[in-house]
Amino acid sequence: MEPTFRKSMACLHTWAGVVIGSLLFVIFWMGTLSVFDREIDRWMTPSTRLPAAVAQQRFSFDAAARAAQPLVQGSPQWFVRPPSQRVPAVELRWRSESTKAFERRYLHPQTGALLEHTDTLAGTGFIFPFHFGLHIKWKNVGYWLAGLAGMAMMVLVVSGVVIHRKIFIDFFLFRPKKQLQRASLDLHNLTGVLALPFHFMIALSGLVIFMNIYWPSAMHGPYAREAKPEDAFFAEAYGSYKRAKAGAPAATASASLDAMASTARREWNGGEPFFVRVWHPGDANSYVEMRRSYENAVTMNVDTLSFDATTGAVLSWHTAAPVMGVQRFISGLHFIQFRHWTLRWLYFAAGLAGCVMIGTGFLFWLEARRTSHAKKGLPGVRMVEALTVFSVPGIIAATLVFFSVNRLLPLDAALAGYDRSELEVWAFYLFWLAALAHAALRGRRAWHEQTWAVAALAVTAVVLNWITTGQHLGHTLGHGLWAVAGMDLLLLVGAGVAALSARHLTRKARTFQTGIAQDPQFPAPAQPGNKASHA
Amino acid sequence: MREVLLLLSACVLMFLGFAWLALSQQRHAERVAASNRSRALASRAQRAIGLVAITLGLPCCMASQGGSFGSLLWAMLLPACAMAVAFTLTWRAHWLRPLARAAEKAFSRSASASASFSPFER
Repeated sequence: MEPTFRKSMACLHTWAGVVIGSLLFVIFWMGTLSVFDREIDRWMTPSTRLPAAVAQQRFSFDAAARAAQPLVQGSPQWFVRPPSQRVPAVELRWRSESTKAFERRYLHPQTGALLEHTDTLAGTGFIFPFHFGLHIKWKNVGYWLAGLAGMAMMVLVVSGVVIHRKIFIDFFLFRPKKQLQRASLDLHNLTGVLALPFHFMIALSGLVIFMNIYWPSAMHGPYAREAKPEDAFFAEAYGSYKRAKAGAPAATASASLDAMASTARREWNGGEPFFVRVWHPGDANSYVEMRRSYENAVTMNVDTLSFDATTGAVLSWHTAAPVMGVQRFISGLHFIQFRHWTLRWLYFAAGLAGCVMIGTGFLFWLEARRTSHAKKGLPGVRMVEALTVFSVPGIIAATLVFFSVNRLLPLDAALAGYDRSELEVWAFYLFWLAALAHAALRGRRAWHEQTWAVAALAVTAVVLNWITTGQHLGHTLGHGLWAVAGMDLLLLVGAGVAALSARHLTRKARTFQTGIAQDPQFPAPAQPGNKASHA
Repeated sequence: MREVLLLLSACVLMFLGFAWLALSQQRHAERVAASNRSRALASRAQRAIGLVAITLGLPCCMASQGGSFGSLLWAMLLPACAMAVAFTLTWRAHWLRPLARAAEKAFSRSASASASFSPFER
């Protein structure tokens, strides 16, 4: 144990940061991208890049259902989402009878025509699930690792505040011209302290979302007397209404979905249905589940209406009870499914700040121990450096490869039994693994080499979009395709930032070798306050 | 239109509030004034005004966007404006010179009275 509380917190902060930092960055990076997951979908699925005006016209659920029939034949359930500002096409999904997996296609909102299918997981299918589950489904290990990272985040934030002695004096302080160690610490403190409420809130709300995974026994307390406590909990909290198949075909044709939607709008005082699922289509016990749009509030409501498919009668009406309402508000603070562009961009910026915070934390740790580990022959800096380059510029570059491969692969690509979407994911992981090997072999130089790679790949992605779709920035800005324009612009800005960072890292590496440079910008403080770490 | 203007007012108020706070610290005041002239600062009054400006951003945001979106917006504008001030101080400190001069004029009289051991001073 350390002699003082502050020293203990420094020890905790350092160890938790080094051990969990890589996992934390990966989750923060994928989470930040997930803010614009639907925009990434538009970029990666060019046929869905419809102009906004198309989404605003009147939509008929019945027309969509008719257009969907040839595709969803024989499926035990299918659902449709009407066009919205962020997804201008109709999204249709159904459980395939043969593969038992969910298929997704997009339909044109007015004609019902099937839009050209790009087999890709894209933002909502790859990047967003990566964020909360790391695509590790075995025994929910992915969820638990994400939860561990969330807990660690809160521990790191609190311990960071404890050890930051001059927290108010350093509040606005950033000195990029100083040695890399000092500049990294400045930026680490800046992004950590100024966005502190955000970091704490985002970690805590993430854990609250998966309350039934992280506190699995909790529902067995109040529902102990039920036959199936978990099912009872889900029914009462989330309103999951279920009715089994009758096994017999429906007597009459199904009732109008548009009429059900009107009923829903009345029940919800104008709230729009944004999700309509048909269970057991064609069966006598078929029913229609409608959920209410999240666009107008922070709270992610669980307002659900279930209708009998043949008669249109309301079978079930659910809304969140008070405590569940709090959980839904906290979830809404994290999921940000509402329609508010200023807030969305602010969340994106705060997420990026979190990524910078984790990255600079690593940079500081490495610089502070570089000479002493080299002198003592310790492997710590080499190992942590390889892991850091792998998990910071490495995963960013791998993501850009994911985008680029999406543009390069032909629509009918398949290899060794893997379909197109799986090939994109393979490209991501293989490149990421190569980044690890590169980092292990190149040591300190890997930092700026991989950062330059990020800059180059970001520009490549923009160019590939131009070449393969012809929709360059001039076209997308002129035609109001804001999602694609935004993605291209962010890729270019990101390339610029990466290039500047790479140059800075290269220069600082050389400076370190030749001697400490004096910084003329800031007047030297009266006391020796700008030495290394805090402990 | 009204919403946009109120939101802009909130951003400006909060940026100025954070800048005012930063300029109450000796290191940043000296950097902006580009001089080593040590001047006594009426830190407490200056910081109070800065904090009030930042807090006034909240009713502006709520008037613009309603209760729940407004308060969330204000909470998310806090880091954004604070970082904007930090980066301005780092790379374009002279942009804050008019503000520094205003601070000097406003607080030059009450200098000696507020020598403090507050956490903002070294």
